[in-house]
Amino acid sequence: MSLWVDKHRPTSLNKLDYHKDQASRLKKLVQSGDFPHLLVYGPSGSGKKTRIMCLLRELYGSGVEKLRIEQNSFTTPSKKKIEISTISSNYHIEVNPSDAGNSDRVVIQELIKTVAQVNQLETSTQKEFKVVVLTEVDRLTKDAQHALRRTMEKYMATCRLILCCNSTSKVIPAIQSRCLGVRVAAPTIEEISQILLSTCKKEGLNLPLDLAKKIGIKSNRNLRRALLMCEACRVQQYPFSPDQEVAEPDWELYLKETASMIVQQQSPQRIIEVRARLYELLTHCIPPDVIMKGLLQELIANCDGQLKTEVVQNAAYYEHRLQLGQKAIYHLEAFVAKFMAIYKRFFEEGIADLF
Amino acid sequence: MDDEFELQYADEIDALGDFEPPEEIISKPRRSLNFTTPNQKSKTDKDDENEGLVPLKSPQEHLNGSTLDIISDAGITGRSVFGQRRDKKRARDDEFTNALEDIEMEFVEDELLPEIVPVSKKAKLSGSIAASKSEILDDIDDDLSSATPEVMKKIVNARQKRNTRHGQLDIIPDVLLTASVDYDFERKRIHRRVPSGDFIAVTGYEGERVYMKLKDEATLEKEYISLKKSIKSSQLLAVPFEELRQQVEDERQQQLMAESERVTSEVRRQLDTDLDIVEGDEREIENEGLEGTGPPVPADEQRSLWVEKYTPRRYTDLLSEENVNRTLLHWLRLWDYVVFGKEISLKTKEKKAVKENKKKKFQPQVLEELDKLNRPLQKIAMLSGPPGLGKTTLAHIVATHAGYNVVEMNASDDRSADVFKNKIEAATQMKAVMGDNPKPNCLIIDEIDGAPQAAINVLLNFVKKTETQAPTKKNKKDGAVLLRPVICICNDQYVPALRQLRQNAVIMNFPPTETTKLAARLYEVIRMEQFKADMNTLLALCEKTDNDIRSCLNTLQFVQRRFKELSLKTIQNLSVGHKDSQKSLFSVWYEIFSLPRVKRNRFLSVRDISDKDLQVNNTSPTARFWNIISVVQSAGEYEKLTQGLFENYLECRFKDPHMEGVCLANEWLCFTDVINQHINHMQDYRLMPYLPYLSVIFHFLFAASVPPKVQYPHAQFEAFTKVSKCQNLVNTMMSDMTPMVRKFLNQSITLLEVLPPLTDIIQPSFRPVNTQLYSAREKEDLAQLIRIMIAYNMTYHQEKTADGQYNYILDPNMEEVVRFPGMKQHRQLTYATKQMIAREIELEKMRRGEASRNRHQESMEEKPENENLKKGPLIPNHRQKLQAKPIMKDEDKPIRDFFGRVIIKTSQDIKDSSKDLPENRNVLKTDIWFHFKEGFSNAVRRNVKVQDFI
Repeated sequence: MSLWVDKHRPTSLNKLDYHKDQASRLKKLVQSGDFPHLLVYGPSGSGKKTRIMCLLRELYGSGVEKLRIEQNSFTTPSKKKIEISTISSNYHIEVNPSDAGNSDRVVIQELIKTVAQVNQLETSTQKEFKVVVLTEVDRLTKDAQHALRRTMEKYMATCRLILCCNSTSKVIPAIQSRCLGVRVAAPTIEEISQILLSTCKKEGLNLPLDLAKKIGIKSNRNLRRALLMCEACRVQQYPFSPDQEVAEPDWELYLKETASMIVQQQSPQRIIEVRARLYELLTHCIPPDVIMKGLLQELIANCDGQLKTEVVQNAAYYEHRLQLGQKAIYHLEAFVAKFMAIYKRFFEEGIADLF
Repeated sequence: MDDEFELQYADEIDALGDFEPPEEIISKPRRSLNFTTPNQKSKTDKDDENEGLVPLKSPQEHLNGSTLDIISDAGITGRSVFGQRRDKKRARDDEFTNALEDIEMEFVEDELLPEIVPVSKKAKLSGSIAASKSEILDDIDDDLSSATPEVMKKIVNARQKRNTRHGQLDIIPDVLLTASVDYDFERKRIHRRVPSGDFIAVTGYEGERVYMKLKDEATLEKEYISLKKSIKSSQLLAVPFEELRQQVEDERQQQLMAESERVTSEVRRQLDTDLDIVEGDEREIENEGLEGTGPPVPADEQRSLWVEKYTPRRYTDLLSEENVNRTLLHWLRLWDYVVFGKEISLKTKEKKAVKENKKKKFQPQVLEELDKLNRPLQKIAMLSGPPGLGKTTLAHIVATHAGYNVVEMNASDDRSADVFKNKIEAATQMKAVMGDNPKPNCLIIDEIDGAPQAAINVLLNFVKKTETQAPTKKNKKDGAVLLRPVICICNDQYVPALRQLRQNAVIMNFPPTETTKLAARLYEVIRMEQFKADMNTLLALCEKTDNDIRSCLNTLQFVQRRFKELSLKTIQNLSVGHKDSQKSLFSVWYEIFSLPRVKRNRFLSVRDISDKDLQVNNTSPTARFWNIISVVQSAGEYEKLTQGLFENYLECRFKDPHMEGVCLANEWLCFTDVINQHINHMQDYRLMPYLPYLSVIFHFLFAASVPPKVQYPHAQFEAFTKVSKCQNLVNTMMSDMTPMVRKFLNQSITLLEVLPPLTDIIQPSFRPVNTQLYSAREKEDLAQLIRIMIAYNMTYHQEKTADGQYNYILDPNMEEVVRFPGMKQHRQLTYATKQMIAREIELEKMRRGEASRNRHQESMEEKPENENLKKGPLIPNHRQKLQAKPIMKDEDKPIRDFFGRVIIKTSQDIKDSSKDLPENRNVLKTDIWFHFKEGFSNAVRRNVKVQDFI
């Protein structure tokens, strides 16, 4: 394994760096023999997949690490072919059904059926079930989620599901109640800097604590990001210096610039410029909700008191619309225009009060 | 006598002279286009008969001269001639009465006399011919001196009267008058000879003629036809009678048109009262033309469509743009050499070319050059334009004008490739053999934009094939060569199927007809139909139908059936005639973004202004609202429309200091988008009607008197393609990642979190020296980099840049995904480093591939090596002896069958297997041995693996 993220990823529940009591509970869960469906949720870069992988290893031994990528094709009732890639070992299969878009329901039904219909061969030494890992469950359509809930019960004998998502708010309650929820909270900055230090030590590098903390803050409590940033710093300059610049992703900087443009001037002309930048972000596959969130964070920093609530409220409104709609650009621009109007009005009122 | 005769006929002969076609080529209208209705025809038939005999100088002369001879020859011929003559006289008589109606002259006797005429003649014939002839002549003298002058005088007066009023229009009555005079002359003589009371008795002894006096129309008609036939078969006339008749009809039509045009121009300047008078006159004329007391508009006439009825029949009647007409005609003329063998005179050609160059700037230049077969280079003419401009009419008229026989194919024909091919070949290579003077064909393919690609390819091949097979002699009849012009007509020349055809064709775009020109023509039409409408109304109609001639005429006819008068109000309230035309998106955007001009409705006359609802105040909000709604609804493409609005609204000049308008507009955009999503997702099309209101909002918010220059919306499509490109890049990258890496990633994580730092990580700084000189640390760094790049399925590959330099680019190109314009430049590796990395990656991949391949090989090879080692000290090469492998005895392992059960061998089998073992061992026991080496050099061969070279 090459990148530090991959190279130093813990492979067993014992080796996990944080949430250790949770790890021990998971271990007990495996040992007790009764293994329920799991719903693992938590922010990105908090170690959900790592925990799932450790769990699988706990269940089946090192055999789960022999992974292969397969291309599966499914046919919808309307004769549409869907190609989807799965990652599987002998004991489990992992799939991201939301790749199939609207026809994710078919994928889920077919896949779980095929997996669940075959029993584990040697049940004496192995667990008697296989595991299906579904990622990004929060992006599943409602149809697929409803299809999932009966399937989960029906094939309980031969297969367990581990669902993985960022937020449970988009998972229907029926599924939530069928699973044991495992929340993986993001590591604290302290934890992140500790991990960074230990990683560098393993690499034989000397990382100053200040830099580790700085990276931890910049990473937004995302361990993956922190490690990658750290490695980028290493490539950029070694030996490390405590006040070294930590490179942020281009898209974040771009978004921040866009936000400051909005604050600088409020006019239709500016909206046109902002629109071009928003398009640029969208064409780089930055999800619109991420853009919305980033914009809001930057904009809110420039607002005070009363204005903040109004802006946030509007942001929420347009974000909701964004989820309902098709064309993200309309909603993003609507939010920008709305912010401009609010901001302008606020300023004019402020100036009027002065005189 | 002769002089007198000539005097009498001077008028008629003159008139006939006038009737001689002024142009060399007179197009023969299609039968279907014949606008005269049966009722009229019966009249004109008789009428034309006069002219049909023109080549014989004077019909009357001929009759007079030949009568006696024919009669003396045989009864039957004589009879037929008489029949004809009698009939003709009758006809003339009728017309005469008609013509004299307005001077209220009563000829009571006339109605009786015609029937008597033939009989009396025949009676005369049976008697002594010579005597009667002299008597007749006497009678003529008498009558001419007594009765005729009075009549003549009156007739001449009447004629003059009408001449002053109608100019050329009265040529026909003129002819009729002369004809009737001539008839009068004859009739009087007969009248004397035959007493009216004896009429029946005299016919009695002639036997077969008795029924003649019954004045049976049918019999008359039959005789008339038989006569006609006999004339035709005997080739009395140089030119077929039918053609002559058509010529006359054309002439008359043209004169009517000319007259009506003149009147129209007058009328424009006159008031309504004047109009009424003219129309009254017009009606009189119409009535004169029709027979006696018949209804003003016969029932049959109402059944024919005006569109058909008033189709232009001559080149000069065409309403379409002169440039287009000329271009097409010019192109057709270029075929003359091939088709007719006429030399195209260079002089006129050049002159023409110069003229055309001056005149048309927008029309494509017809290439004057001819190819090897003397055909024009562009073998197809393509007319394109919106419906109702007269494309088909133009093609037909020009083709006939140039002397072709038109063969038309349109969408109503089967157009599968095979049928199409047959038809094209039939049309372009065959020729009508019936009829004298057959014309060559000109193929007109109408509505070609609807034809399937296969069919168009057939045509295309046909056009192209000839070029490759051109070596055949000039004018030699080769079955596959296109030697006739082909004209294609389409509405949309940009249909994908036509793409190739366009390259081989002269393309003529039809500009819209001029409104005034069209209105003037419409005015002629309604005048002829005795339908009231003024110029303003017609102009309004033209505007309403977007100058679609067909639509105008159809609307007029429709309205005529319901109302007697077409007023402006009718036009405005009428939903008919309004073309549900799809405006172009640009014009819709323009409409939305521009404030309506206060429309001074120029079509409103004094009368209409009093009507309040007609005062279209198009600037009131209500009017604007409805206008925009209707425009948008007829345009239909809401999706594109919305995009256009979105991309252009900010360019508008609008006052919005608090940006409330922009917010509202955006609110609506979001609303439309949400609705759209719902519609598409749930197939819930009930919500569709809410979509167009977005445009109304935009109109009210952003409309300005000076609208912005609307740009076609590209941004969304561009964004879409860029997004999919970006996604593809990421997907390619992810599809071949190492599974252990791939497992922990998904697309958005890759994009947002991994790739930005990764692109930095894979660009460490290396010393620009040979890798051999690297320190251990550097080597480790390089190895680490290589591992990362392989794990993330990235490499460099060479590409040639636009300026011809080679460069190494990441593959898949993640730089493109991660980098944003205007951001800080990231460090780039040098060309040499990239090259080195790319090479290292290749090597590493090879090593890994070999390692995995060798892994199971090695496990197999290990065993024999171990055995060799056990053999002890090495024997010198030449002393080495090949030893056969000791054969293991099968008995050691129990043989098992498929299910794992042990098979017990019988003793016989064991004996067979161990028979000849001792013989094999004695073969190589000698000291002498030969080692044969392949090739010419004595080089030692050795197995070398790739990894040893690396």
